[in-house]
Amino acid sequence: MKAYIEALGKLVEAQTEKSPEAARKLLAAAYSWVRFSGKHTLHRDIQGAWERLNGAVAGTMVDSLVHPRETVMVNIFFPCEMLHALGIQPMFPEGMSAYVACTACQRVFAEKAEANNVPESLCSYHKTMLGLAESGVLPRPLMVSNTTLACDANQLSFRRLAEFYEAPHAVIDIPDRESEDAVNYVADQLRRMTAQLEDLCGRKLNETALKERVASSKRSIALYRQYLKRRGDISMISTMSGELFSMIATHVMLGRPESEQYMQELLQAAEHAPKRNGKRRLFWFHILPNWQDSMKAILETSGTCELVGSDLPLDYLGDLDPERPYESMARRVVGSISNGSSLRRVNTAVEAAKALHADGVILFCHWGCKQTMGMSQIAKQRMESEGLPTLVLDGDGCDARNVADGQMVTRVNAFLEQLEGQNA
Amino acid sequence: MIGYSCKYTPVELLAACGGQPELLDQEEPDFEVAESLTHANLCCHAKALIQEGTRLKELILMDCCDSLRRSYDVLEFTGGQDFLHLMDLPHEDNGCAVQRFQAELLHLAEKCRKVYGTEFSRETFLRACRENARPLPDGPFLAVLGARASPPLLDVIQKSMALPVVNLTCSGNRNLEAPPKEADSMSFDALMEWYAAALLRMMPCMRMAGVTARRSLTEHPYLKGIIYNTVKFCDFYGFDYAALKDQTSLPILKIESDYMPMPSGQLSTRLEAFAESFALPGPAERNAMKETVKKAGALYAGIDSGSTTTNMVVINDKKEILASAIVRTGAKAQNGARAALEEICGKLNLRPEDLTSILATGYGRGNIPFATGTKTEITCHARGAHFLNPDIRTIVDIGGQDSKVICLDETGAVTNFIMNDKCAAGTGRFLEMMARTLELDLSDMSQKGLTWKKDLTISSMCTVFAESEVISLIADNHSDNDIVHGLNKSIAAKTASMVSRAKGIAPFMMTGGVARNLGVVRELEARLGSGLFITENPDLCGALGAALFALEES
Repeated sequence: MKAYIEALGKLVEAQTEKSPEAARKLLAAAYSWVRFSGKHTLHRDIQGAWERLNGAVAGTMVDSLVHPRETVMVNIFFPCEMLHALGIQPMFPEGMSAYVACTACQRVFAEKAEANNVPESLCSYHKTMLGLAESGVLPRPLMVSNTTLACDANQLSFRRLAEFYEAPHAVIDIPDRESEDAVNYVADQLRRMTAQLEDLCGRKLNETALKERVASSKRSIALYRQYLKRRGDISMISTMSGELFSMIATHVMLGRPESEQYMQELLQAAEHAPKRNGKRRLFWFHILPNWQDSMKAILETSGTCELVGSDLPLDYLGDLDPERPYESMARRVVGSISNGSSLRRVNTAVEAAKALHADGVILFCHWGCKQTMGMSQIAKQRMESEGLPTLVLDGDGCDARNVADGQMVTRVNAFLEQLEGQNA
Repeated sequence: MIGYSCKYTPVELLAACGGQPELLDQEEPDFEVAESLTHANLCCHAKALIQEGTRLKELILMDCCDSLRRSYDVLEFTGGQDFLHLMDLPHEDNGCAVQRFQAELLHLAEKCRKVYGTEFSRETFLRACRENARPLPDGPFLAVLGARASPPLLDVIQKSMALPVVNLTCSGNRNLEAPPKEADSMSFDALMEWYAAALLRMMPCMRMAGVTARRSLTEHPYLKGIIYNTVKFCDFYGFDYAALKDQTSLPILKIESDYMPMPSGQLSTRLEAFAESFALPGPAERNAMKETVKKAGALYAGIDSGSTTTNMVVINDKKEILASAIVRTGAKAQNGARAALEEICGKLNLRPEDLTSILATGYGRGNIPFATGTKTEITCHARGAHFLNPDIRTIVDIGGQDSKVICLDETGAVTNFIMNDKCAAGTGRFLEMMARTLELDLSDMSQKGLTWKKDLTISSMCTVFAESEVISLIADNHSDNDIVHGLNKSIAAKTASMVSRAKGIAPFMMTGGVARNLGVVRELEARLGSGLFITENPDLCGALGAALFALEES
């Protein structure tokens, strides 16, 4: 991590104890700079696409800190098109926690949450978000809302956040099994939540604007499908953050012009990319530790391997009907590969990894994620039975305290050597 | 027999369709099979259930949490059951959710009919529904709340408590409402609609969307105290505990279990200390006790048998400390205790039988043959600390394998305490391991951390991972001083977090062997924003408290 970021992180940590408002201003200033840099990037390649989306996401963080009453706190799987149509920013723990981890100040927030009796074994993204709130750094949003997809942490941390802030809270209950009844059940809940949001923000949702947001989602997903089709035959520069941007663009930012532009630029970059080279092609399963220098050194700058894709952006790549916006949003969550049986998600990953000509899969067991840890051995067996060597790698997407860095480096390097040996 | 795990399981329907439902709640000696099929950090109940599930032919699971959802996937993937079923349990209890759950029940009834070949028995169903109403005691009782507790754990709790203990954990408080009068004549679909609603209206567990009804669990007029159970890697009840402890004035003890046979030491220390807190004399009785005339010239001893050292103190009836001893405990508690007794007798030139009474505390307190009584180290530390400095409100005790925070009121009575769980992070053992890695002795460790240049941070909380981190820092040529300072910060952060969780307030006192480590003390003082009161022999506080109890109780 760069020295000036570490210095900023230390300053934020120190201020969090003394003056949470000062810490908030420091973070807002830092993320305003990221937003500005993203907006005015000079890159015209994939780097530019990442920076522009990074800027847009940083914008949601700035608004969460500076204009909190124009923000709804949601989880990453929450369908946000109605928020976008109402001009309300989504603020999601996976994003905010990853940003503070990359600002070298996550530890103070995780420790704050644990000091307030949040279990140490809770997902670090949620724990960090709770620490941000309970330290006084993250102000009260307009509303808190979460889906029960994809994990229990949503039920726990969002309820606690709503109680802490004394803010309205809406839960969208997602049935485990996919059916038209399930889609209608979720669509009705989304309608009720939207009505509640209209009352809170004092603005009426324009149905045409909502349909246009869903139409944009449909176009973005179609562009991403085209990109994936091309990606199997080419070689591109790849980063862990890049995969996370694709995940954000297919989730909370879906339906926004920035997401659609990102997908267009991704596809353009793929169309101009060279054919596959001799690097080891890795498919990543679950979240990526983009804060971790040692992993960046191996996966991004060593020149030995390339991240060809990850499973989270593949969450729902089906069609949408803009004329039925609520049903479309509902279908996306009910039909998510993260809903229901493990094999649904694993089989999607197997198909994608094969289509992307991956040499192997890294299955990342993020600290506290019972869903991924629980399916890790099923996934490994299933993938290896399909000829995809798989490494189950324990780590943490944002909290260094749960990471054995040296052990991770050894495991990943040994896995790359294993793939090298198999391809020799 | 069809195994089930969750209280929302429609056991009455299963029984009425020819099944024999049985709650799966057993401990396992190890998790070897489960961890080979899934991951070590999955909820311990889920791991126990996977292991038991692989041995069963019939199993029904609810989609009630991430761990059990994945347990179903693992069992389905490995195969071996004749009947394996997962029910989709709504998070809500509104009309739409009831309809969805009713459909699940109808689907299950149909599946049972095919598997068991028997028709639904309405009589069995309604009888089972009526039998499931279990009233609470009509006299004082204690409740176990929180995450499910295994029968052996409940047994240990009951044996430690004088009052009856009622299981109100997530698998224990299954109070189904009585069926409606017209239940005999309702259509099957209508009966299942009532049943779906009744199941969803039970006292909610923490995975449900609305949990406000849970607060009534603690409002029973005869409820006198709560033992709050959490299961390792189950997050739900840590949240519930955090909310509950601020909302109730009842005494509450948090424990952590892991569906394996519990090591008796730490658990019994906590339970006994909790039971002792009920029996502690009030201030008036305490003053009366002070007036009691003691035998002239009598000697009283306290012996604190810890994991690393055994400490002993002898006082006279004027509460003057006459002699003390600190010896290594070694492999057996009783050997360390005998060595301490010999040293004391040598110093005072007396025989063991000259001591009027000897009260034992610490881990090994139950294994000291010459002790005339026992008390937990929580209560003894509090007594010792209050005697040494009556102003103290919070004790931070870091011993060999334990770290504790004990809060006191102005009379010296324990108001709250917390201990580290099965983890050596932040304990004396952690420092010993790191000293070994750095090839330093403990007295060097105490000084090295005071003069550092680079502000290193040891990020891992786990002792084993922290050791690899230290090895990496050594390899990167960081100085011993900087690394020791990083370790001291790590212990201080962990300890300050415990103080904060216990709501400890100044003035603080530090006891235990780690209080001799100046580097840790300085870092902890900085974290707490307050000085620490430390006596010349910080290891002796527990033994002194035990000696005072020996005097007062003889």
